Amino acid sequence: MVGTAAINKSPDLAKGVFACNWIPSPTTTPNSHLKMLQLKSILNVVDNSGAIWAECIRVLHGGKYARIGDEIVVVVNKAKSNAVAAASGIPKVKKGDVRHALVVRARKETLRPDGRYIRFDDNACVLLNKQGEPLGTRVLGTVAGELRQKRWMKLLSLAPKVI
Amino acid sequence: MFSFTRSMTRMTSLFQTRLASTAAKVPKPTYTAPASVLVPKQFKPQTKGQGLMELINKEEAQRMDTDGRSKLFNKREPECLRAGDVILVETLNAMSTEKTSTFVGVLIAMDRRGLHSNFTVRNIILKVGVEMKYMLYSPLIKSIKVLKKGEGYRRAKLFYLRDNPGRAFRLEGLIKQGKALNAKKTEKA
Repeated sequence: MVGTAAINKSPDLAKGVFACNWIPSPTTTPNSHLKMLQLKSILNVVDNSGAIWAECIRVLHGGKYARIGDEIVVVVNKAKSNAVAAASGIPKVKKGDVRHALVVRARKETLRPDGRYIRFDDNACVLLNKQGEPLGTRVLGTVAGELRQKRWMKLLSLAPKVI
Repeated sequence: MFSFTRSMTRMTSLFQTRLASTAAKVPKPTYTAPASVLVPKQFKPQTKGQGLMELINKEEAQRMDTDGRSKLFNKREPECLRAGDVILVETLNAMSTEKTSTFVGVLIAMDRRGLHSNFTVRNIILKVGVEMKYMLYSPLIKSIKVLKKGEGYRRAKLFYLRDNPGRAFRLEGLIKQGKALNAKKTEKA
């Protein structure tokens, strides 16, 4: 049965062998060909800030495409009236608001260092305030493990599931 | 037109080669490497009729097949996976730790590509579909278990389940079963 023998832990494997068709080179990062959110992309907003859909208007790192873990600037397309949010101190987000957001799920598959690919069924983001912290106090739904950085630790702790 | 000089030079060169073959053969100077240099006895790998890269990939796949996971992709084996099976994949978080993360889901695609053989597992987690594509021979995959054999699937690739899942992703009972299996394993160990 699979999984009963000892795992092969030879020294060269410990370095992290790429077992995929893509070969890394100094000029390309692993995911350079796998980003697909851009101007006009519509994302679900998965926090409790009140926004429902947001449209990307700019990718903040300067390129054309954004992927999971990238910050983007969005325009809120649809928002719900959020009395609960106002009570807990979240600034009320209305339709037409321009906000920074962080991509947490993407429909385009993302490559992980060991050759795994992960893909979600939707594009989702979380709104950020001017300091770069999450605007809402809750995150709904799964969030990609690509966000495991010091900067987004608070967001990861809020998320019910990180994959 | 017939060229007299060209034919003459050809005839003389033929004559010279015939002369050369009958002359005493001078042995070619041989070079013996110093003892510190390792000279391989076999200069050409035995490719056995296949290309060199194919051979390298096959050898590497055999080398990476430490726990018999190639049987999961071999149709002649009874343990072979099929599209539609509910699978639990346990992955090490890093080569340095023993901590694992699990992913349970329906196997929707198997891609047989030798060393780069991969399979895609799909599940619906918190109302969002998540697909993970694993490389079969990745050293980070600790184990692959079949929780339930798929029934009634008549395709090799079940991408239609993205739009028409039906009852395919009602896996709560199987996830619990998978966790119980893992718990038993950790108790025994």
